[in-house]
Parts: sequence; structure tokens; C-alpha cells
Amino acid sequence: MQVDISVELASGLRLKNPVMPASGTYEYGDNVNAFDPAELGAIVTKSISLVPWPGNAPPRLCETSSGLLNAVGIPSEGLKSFRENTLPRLKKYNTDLIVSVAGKSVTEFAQVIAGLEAEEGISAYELNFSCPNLGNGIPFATQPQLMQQALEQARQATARPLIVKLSPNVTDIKVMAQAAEKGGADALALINTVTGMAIDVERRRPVLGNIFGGLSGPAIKPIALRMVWETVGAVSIPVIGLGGINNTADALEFFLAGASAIQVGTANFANPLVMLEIIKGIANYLQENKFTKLTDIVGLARTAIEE
Amino acid sequence: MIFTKGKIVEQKAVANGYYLLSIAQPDIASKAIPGQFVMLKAWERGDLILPRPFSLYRILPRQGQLQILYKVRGKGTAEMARRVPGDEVELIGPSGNGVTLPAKGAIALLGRGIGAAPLMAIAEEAAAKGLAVYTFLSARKRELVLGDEDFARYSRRVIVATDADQENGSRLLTDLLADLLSEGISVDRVFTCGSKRLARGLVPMQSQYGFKAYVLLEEVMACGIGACKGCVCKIAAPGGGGVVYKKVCQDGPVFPVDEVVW
Repeated sequence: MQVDISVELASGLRLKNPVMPASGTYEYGDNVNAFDPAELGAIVTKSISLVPWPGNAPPRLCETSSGLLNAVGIPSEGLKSFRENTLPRLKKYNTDLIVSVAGKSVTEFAQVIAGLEAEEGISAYELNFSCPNLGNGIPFATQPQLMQQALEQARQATARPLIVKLSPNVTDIKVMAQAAEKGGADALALINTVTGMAIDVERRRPVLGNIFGGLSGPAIKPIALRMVWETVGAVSIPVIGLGGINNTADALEFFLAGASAIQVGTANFANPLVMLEIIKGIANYLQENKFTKLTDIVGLARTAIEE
Repeated sequence: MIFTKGKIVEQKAVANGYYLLSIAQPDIASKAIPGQFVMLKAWERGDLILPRPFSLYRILPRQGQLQILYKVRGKGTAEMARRVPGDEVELIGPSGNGVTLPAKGAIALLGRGIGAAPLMAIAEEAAAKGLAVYTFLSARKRELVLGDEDFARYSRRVIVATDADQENGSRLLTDLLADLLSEGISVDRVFTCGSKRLARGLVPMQSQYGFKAYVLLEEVMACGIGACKGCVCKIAAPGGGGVVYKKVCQDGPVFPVDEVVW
């Protein structure tokens, strides 16, 4: 029996399966793919900013117990280079393409989107609100009003679906989720990395060039799962779960918590085939447990405690 | 890029905390060139999530093997040292741009400590092409001068300097290279690894002695294939003024010494 693992994330946006790479963790250059990118539910690009961004000074990485701290700092080739060099290569893959958009001002997200609207083959935009706002240096994703303003401008710039990526570095994720829903988001993706740091005891100084970095990997999965659970209960738009998903069982936890789709980040570095394994693993799980479609299990852990 | 597995054929301690690992992996062995590297993972530990980059000490396409000379530095290399023949390792590679050798003439290799490792593959290839190879190795102690017997097979001369044993008066390898060149020997290209000081020291020597020098850089990596953008180094912006970040894994690990901002 064939199971249906497709998911609808917005009107007109149905992915053939619920698995995609987290922005910035997947290399789509030639000759570096462990499997055909067309197998993915969607390709999510690195974040694109209006002008090129260099990223942070090295060192940018530090592995911690079950986690990876990074202070890469969203290096971007910029809108023009993306449109001319990268986008044509990405369009040739037979799957949906989600362009991640970054900005440092309320208007920049809409400007990047406006620069991409004439391009065919873009299924949706994911707004990376985790970059610091130039005005006060605080990330958009921790300031509901500012995020909503940037989102409303982006909303006016396009009819394509908008996915808002949320940061876990907030007191109440529900407040941010509801602000995004109110601002016109079609779906939410969470969580981005958790702020952290590491210190080199031999050199007696911070490991990362940027001092602080974002923690990803298995270490943050319980945090991500809890925040996805809370968010699903607070909004009525689809939620894409991510944060430390390392295998099929991890992915299933997010579906059972109510996520409609998932993204895989750091695990791609450890195992370049992991997304393919998860796509197959989800279908196998559904089959073995006599479900006919993925949507049958979305949120089941929520109903289990209501009964 | 090949995403595959290989089997450990041999694991030999060559000094305290230093090992020579032989892996059977014919696909990568037939494709890799000197200066390239592989990402290796050989453990099932939930707390240790990333593979580690290792340079290639010898590339043996006929035997279908790769040899890796490494130093135990952290948890990943400590795990690697516990693997025994027959164990399986996961590999990604060959990664990065290898070196380009001149068509004829001579090269010099300057290796500090474990930095000698990738130079061995260069020596072997250069000797096979009929180039004259001059090898300079230094370390804190004599027993940490690695691979000097292997280098001797492919080099006209192997010159060693040690800090503690005062061999060659603990002099810098760049000074010893200058000595050789003032004997009237000329080299076309120089490759160095393992010491920023040596690489920096080669910059002014290039115009003085008429060679081009390259450094093999090391950096912490998450993916080794250009996805994570974590392993950048600082490179002088073309046209002067400012710095650009280049990925050691994809744009390197071989860089001209005068382009790196030290």
C-alpha cells in the first residue's frame, strides 16, 4: 500500500514530502550532493540579503556535547548574484524551491522579495528574522512589533506563500508566533539556533570570533519540540518543525507534536544522506502502523493527552 | 565528491599520540590528488556529531588505499585512535583543491610537526613526475619529526630541525631553506603546512629567490563540502584594501602565502 506523505503548507504550496534542509545547511553546488536534490520535499536556500554580506570573522564553529555552536553570521552572495548565478541552477531540480530571505532593516526583506518576484520557479519565501536589526542590534525575531512591520511589508511585496522562521531566544514563543500569524505569515518554521558560547580554557578566551553563537544539533531537540508544541496550540497556520532532528524517530516526534513538515540542519553535516533516510523512514512508519497518509499522525500526541 | 565507507587496514602508533592509519577505499584513492583531504567519522557516539577533516599522507590508487597521519588532539581523534583493523569508517571526499605541481624543476616542502602529513603525498607525486624535492621538517623533539624516512625516499635532501634537541641549532625551516638556496640550488614552488610563522616567513622570500609559495591551511570544519561556511580564512581582497572570507574546504586548503591575511 502506497502512503501519502505530501503536505500542504499554504494554498497552492503542496510539497511532495515533508522533509527539507534547514536554510544554510545544504550545499547545492555541482558535484557535492550525496543524493538527487529532487528527492527533497523542497530545497531551502541559504539566506539571501539585498547586498552581499561577508559573514562573521573566524573561528566560526565549535562542536559541543551533542551540539554545534556556529557564528557563521549569514554570509550572502547578495540578491543580484543569487538571481544571476544560483537561482538558474536551483530551478532545474524537479522539486519546490523556498528562498530564504534575510535583512537588517524593516524594509530590506520586502526589497529582496521584490527583486525576486519576476523570477519563475520560486514556491515560497522563508523570512529569516534572526539577523540583528541595524537600528538597535536586536534580532527581529525577538521583537514582535518590529517583526510584524517587516513581515507586513514583505506581505505587500508578494502573493507567494511566506514562511516565518522563529527564534527560540524569547521568553514566550507564542507571542512571536501570533505576531507572525497576524502579520500575514502562511506558515511558521521553528526553531532557529539557541544562543550560546564556549571558552577555550588553554587560551583563556572565547572560542568563537563573534563570542556568541547559535547552538544546533541533538542538544536542542527537546527545546525545539516543546516550542513547536506550544506554537501549534497558539496559531492556526501550519508549523514546520526543526531543531536537532537527527533521524526518522526525531522527525516523527515533531509530527506527533503537530508539525506539518520538518527541516533538517546540522544532521546533514554528520550524515549527508540523512534527509533521504528520513523521507523513507516516515513512509515506512506510516505503513507499519497502518496509516494511509502523513496528516493522519500530525498532532496525535496532543489528542492522546486530551483523551 | 564521494560519500562512502572504507575499512581500516592498519593502525600504527608512530610516536606518543601520533598514528598512521591505512584505510581501504579504492574510489577515493583513485580520484584524490595531493593536498586534498577527507572527512572521516568512525564512531557511534551521540555526543560527537560531526566528522573530522584529515589530510592525506599517502594516496595509493594501486592498493586502493589512503594513508592518514594524525595527532590525537580532541575527542574525535581520540576515538579514531581506538579503531582497529577491520573497523569501518565513513568518508566524504576527496575534498578541496589539491596542489598544482610545476611541469619540471624543483620544489621545497616545509613541514612543522603534524603539518608534515599532507606534504608526503606531494613529495611522492613530485618525485614520480621527475621533480627534485627538498624536504624540511621541524618539531619540538626528534621523535615528533614524522615520516622523515618516507620523505627520504622521494627527496634529494631531508633537512631536520628540532627545538629541544637543537638539531640544526633549532633554526627556522625558512632560514634553512635560504641556506640551501644560497648554495645555488633553485626551487620553483614551495609548499608548507603546520606553522603560520613559516608560511608568513615565505612571503618575502618569494621575490628574493624567485619561487611561488603555497600554504595548506587547517580549520575546524562541520561539513567539508562547502555547505556550512564555517571554515573560512581571511584572504586579501583582490585589487587591494580589505579582506574577504574564503572557505578552506572548498576554496582551499591550498592558498598562495601572499594572499592569506595572517
